Amino acid sequence: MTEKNFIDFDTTPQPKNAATGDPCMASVVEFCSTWERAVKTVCLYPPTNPRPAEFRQKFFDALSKHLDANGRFVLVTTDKGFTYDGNPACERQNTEDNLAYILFRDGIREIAFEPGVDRDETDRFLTVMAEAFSAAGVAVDVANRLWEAGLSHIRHYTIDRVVNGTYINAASEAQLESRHRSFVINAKKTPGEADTGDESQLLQGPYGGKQGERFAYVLNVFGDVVGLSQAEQAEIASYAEPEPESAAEQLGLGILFEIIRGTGDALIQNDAINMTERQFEHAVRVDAWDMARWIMAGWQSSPSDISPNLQQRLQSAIISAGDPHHFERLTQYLNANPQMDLTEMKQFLESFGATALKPITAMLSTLEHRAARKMVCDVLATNGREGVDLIGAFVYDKRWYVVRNVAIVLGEIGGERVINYLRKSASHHDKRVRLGTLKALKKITSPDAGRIMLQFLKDSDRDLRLKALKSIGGDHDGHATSELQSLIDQPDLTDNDPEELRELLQAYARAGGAKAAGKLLALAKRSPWFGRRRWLPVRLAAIQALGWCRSGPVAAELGILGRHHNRQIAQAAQQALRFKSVPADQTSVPVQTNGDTREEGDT
Amino acid sequence: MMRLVVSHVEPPAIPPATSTSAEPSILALPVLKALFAAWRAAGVYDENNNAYKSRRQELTAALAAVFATGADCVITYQNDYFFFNGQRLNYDREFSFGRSLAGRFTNLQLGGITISVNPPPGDLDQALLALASCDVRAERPYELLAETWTKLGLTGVTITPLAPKTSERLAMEQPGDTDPIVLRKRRAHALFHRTESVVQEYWEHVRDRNSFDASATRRIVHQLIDTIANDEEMLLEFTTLKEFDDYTYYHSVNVAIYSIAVGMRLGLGRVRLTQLGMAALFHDIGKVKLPQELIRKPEEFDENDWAQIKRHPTLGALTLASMRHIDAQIGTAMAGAFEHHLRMDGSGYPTLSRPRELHLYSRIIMLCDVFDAMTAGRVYQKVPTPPDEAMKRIVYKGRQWYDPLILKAFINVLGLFPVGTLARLSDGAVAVVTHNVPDDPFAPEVLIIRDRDGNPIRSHLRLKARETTAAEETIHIAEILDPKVEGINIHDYIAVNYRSEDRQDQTTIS
Repeated sequence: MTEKNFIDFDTTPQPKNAATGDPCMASVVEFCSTWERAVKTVCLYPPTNPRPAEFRQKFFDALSKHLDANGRFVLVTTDKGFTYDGNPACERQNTEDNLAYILFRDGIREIAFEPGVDRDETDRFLTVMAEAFSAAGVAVDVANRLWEAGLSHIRHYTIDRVVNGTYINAASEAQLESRHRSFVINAKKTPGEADTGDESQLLQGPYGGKQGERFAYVLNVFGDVVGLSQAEQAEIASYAEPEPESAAEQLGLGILFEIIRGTGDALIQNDAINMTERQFEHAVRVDAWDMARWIMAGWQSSPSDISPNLQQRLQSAIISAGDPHHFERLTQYLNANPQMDLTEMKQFLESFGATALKPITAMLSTLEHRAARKMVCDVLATNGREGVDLIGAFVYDKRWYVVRNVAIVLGEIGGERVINYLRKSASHHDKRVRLGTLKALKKITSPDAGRIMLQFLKDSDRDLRLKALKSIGGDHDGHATSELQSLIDQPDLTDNDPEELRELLQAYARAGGAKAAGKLLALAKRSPWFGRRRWLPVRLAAIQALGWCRSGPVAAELGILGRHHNRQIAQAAQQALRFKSVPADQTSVPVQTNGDTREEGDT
Repeated sequence: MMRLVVSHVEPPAIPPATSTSAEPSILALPVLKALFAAWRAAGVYDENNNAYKSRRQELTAALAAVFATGADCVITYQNDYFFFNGQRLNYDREFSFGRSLAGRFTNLQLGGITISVNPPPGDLDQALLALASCDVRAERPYELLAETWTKLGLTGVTITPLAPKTSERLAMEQPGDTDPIVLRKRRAHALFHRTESVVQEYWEHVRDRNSFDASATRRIVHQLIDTIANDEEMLLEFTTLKEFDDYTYYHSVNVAIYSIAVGMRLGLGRVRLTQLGMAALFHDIGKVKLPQELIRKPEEFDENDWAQIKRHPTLGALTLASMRHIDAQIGTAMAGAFEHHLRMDGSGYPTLSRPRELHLYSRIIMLCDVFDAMTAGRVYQKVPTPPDEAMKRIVYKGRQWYDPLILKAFINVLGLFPVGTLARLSDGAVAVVTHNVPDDPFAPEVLIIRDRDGNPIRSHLRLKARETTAAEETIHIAEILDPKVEGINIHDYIAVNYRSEDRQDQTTIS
């Protein structure tokens, strides 16, 4: 392997005659072109796209074809391109889009392609080249990566600042594995030593005595020093698998947290926390959100017996992690990855507790996907109890969808402190916000919430009025009943459409109960000479509503109406008698799950 | 006009002194500092400029202190080191500008400057201007400089060309050296010392700038892996050399060599072997943050010293974490640094808040570190332990402290009688173990150096396996001997010509 088969190290192109028209040269030029296109395609398209696979195959085919026809060949790299046999095979005037330059930059001066190359090897080769070629690969040392790719038939020749000379990647895979194989094979072949000995003899100073026997005794204590048990062989086999990158990252972070917990030195602890903060910044910068989550968990998993100063320092790290820029970055990431599983992300955001409510709430304004917004709403609903004012301040936001989601979150949080904010959003100019507010208010069992809900009875939007009517249940302080009664007493009651009329009277029945029965009975029996037909819907709605406030007299009245000559009235009365009351919210208003949702007009 | 003394054909005559100093000479640093400043100023200002004059005066003052001793001022640069009147200077904090100065010497292919006592007036100025104005992009800058020197007729200041590095020369194929074994050995030896240079460089970078060139370190680890795959025995032979001045660096190299060899036994792939090699090279990086006097302390450590020393695993992990973001490489290197003094039974240091499972690389590095530290007698215990005794102690603590599987792999690498062990054979002859035979750790290859009558001889012998020796009367190791008691230097027989003194000679005397 140490044979120096490469051509000399003068990289100056020395054109020879017959460069043009030479089929071998033409084939090399064609190969270089295919190579370049393959690298660009692998860089450009995601691995799931069929194009990279197609170009990987083309590269393999072009290489195999040339090797079959012409055998081993060497390309010399310069900063301006590749040369073959002294003739330019691929020339580039700049460093952009220049494969040769990428190799040249890292000290690779020649690259040799040898017969026997297979598709797997060319794939690994192209992957390394693509990594180096892409913008993200600025820090990739191609020479190192090619070595680590273990290419047996694509070899490179490097000059190196460190080694001050030339170097050929010498060890083949077989050579690397030979020591391993011999270890495993020898271990199987040799059963191991099992002589017995005397411990006192062993402990008699380093010299003197029969060394072999003393070792034999040690081996007896230790066990078979050479043979491998099945478990050991299985363990060795497991080392062949590469360790996942994330495991090593976690390992490093785990050590930092062990230093924070284990050492009693405040300066070292502080240094270690500084490192974790830097790692967190880096994780955010490169969208390594798993790593960010581990770090966050590490900060929070400190034992209870740590010093107050350390506890405070860790808390300050958590607070720093709640920097708004971090959440802007996270928002971009979530927008770019709509399909991702949000379970762990939710845990991550929840782990901030009340320290980052403001920036997390601000995410609602820029998140593009419904599932992500719902996740954020859930997080705010869980963490928001300590920061109602921080979240509530967003009801003044100019964007309707932010206000609507905040209103829903406030509804989930509940409590008296959210009422003022919901009062504000209840009068929002956008119907969707008011709808969200109504939903939020329904979840709050407080008289103030009920009073705000009554505002919706006079809302300009019919749907909202209907939903508000459907939301009204028992009325403890009489506000709802009197509000509804004032609506019923309006002279234009008969102008209402039948559905709204029906909901109004039913809400009145639910809120007023027995107290409402008189008014409803009066409406049910009302049959003026003029306008009988106009009043019929009111009568029917009142009869239906009476089902909510059945009592002895009401039932008797319904019984009479059940025999009314007007079949519609009779049927309505019979239905009302059969009606089994259920809570108001479950009668007709579909219950909205928590969280959001931009529905109509969402962008 | 006096005859100009310019030597650019023959290698420089470097003063014979080969000693190194722990601290730079009191006189050397001001001179080099002033020379560096004046050289830089000469490149920017003309000789009448006050800034230049001021630097020039500082140089004159520093030189006057040297001349007061009656000696010339001889500055030599070779093998990446500066020598001042024969005394080697280390690139410590005070000489941190040495790397920049070294860059100037290298660019000009300059190997030395000698300023004789009280040089003729004007010589120093002209020399500085010539140095500053020489075109470093020229094909042969030193020849250009020498030409200028001749033209100027400088007599009080002379220059010499840069000599090739020792490692390069060792690796060079000398005419007549056609024996492939010799050539491979030369290359292995050159790599061994290059690795030490890289280790030293990153220690200095970490200490001074808290950064290092990871790519360069990775490349050297790749070379180690390649060489161990092909010529493991040769590199293992070099690990027996323990007499270097900067043993801390060689310790890291040795641990890396052992670790990679063990990793290969365990079937680790290229990427994991690289990570392991890097982790091994960095395992003691925390010592950079400790006082260097403590690291070099020749006496046994007292309680306070130990308290300091025990901080280095933690400092090492923090140092690595501070370099850049934690990726697979840094994460595993941190494990190597943090865990290499922890033991499988939870003993060792640093103190942990809860038991932790040691990483594979840490378990490997821990074992290799212990073996090298014991046999060197330079790191924690100041008296070297013979290799077989070190191995015996390790095996005795096998299950308790170490991973038994890794210990088996380690024994497969070194044998139970590691290279360098001095033994009396069953026939009475004295021999040095030269190669381990993985097939049978009890029966290594030895070089017989004295026959049964005590007469010096040199004869290689492969001992036969123990199973056969029981039945037949064949030669086996009967007793281990202490080289000091026997008055034998094993490096007269293994790693011959590669001892530290030899290296020093080749370093300083051309």
